[in-house]
Amino acid sequence: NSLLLVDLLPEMIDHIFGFVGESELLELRAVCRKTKSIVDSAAAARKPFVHYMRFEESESGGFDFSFSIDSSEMLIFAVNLCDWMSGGNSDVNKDEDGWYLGLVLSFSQIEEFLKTINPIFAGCEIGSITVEWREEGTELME
Amino acid sequence: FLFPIKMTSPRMIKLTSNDDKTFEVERDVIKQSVTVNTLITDLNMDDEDVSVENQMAIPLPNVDAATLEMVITWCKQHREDPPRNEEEEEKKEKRTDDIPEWDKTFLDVEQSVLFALILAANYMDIKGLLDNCCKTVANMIKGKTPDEIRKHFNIKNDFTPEEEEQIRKENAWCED
Repeated sequence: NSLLLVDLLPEMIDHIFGFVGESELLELRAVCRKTKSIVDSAAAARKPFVHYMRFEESESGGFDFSFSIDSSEMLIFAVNLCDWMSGGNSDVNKDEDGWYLGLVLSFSQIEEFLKTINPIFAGCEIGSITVEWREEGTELME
Repeated sequence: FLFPIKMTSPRMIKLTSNDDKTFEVERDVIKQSVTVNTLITDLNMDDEDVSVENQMAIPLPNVDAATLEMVITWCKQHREDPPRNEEEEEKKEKRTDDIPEWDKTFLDVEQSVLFALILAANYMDIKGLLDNCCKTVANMIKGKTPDEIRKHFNIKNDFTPEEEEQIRKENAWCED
């Protein structure tokens, strides 16, 4: 009865995975269902600090949503976002400063949108939430 | 003149494995196991008046004799280690390049033995041993592709082709 890695309890495997880097966690997601489930559960439990969330009125009239988290948290957050994206929201991009989500939302829809993404951000400490919009002929308002 | 010298032998504790082998181990050595330590205290086994012959053995139903022997060897080697401060350990950067040389050699065993040690260290609550075993496994994972990890640990790929494709897409997106 030779003991295998996958025979260990999930919390022990999770403890092992705690010692590998973010890139190895991605590889482990692709090994088997058990390792994927353990990596994804750990990701869901980790809540990064969100420096800011910003809704900015775009040229097209909707609101662009952006937020910023530390780069070391990116992968974990990406795993959660991937799950959420599978629900149909695919216009997510990231650059050196943060994550960006292009959405056409009316001002009144922002609250609803926040509820929609709540499972991802639930429990996160958020530095600031800003809504910026441009009224015709006026400067950007905060 | 001969002065009477009272020789105090170290206090011994008896442990029984799940295959009914009993080990006698110094109290000071096995104190590294939180589980055993708690049992000793709760069962009032620190009573100096009870000799080791009359002492009840502590059963360890989740640990076999071969593994328990290794656990005791590790505890003997680490008996002088300072007590761990778990709060400090939590704050520390998670590294795998700080396994002591003695442990590296000691843990250079077959995977099934290493996993049995992880199970035992977890059950007996010996954080230092558990961490060093887990770091050893983590070092085996590092730098490997999913396929290489499967081969190294004899893991069956139980994803459907569609699931594999979905994960590949997600991972590619994360790595962008």
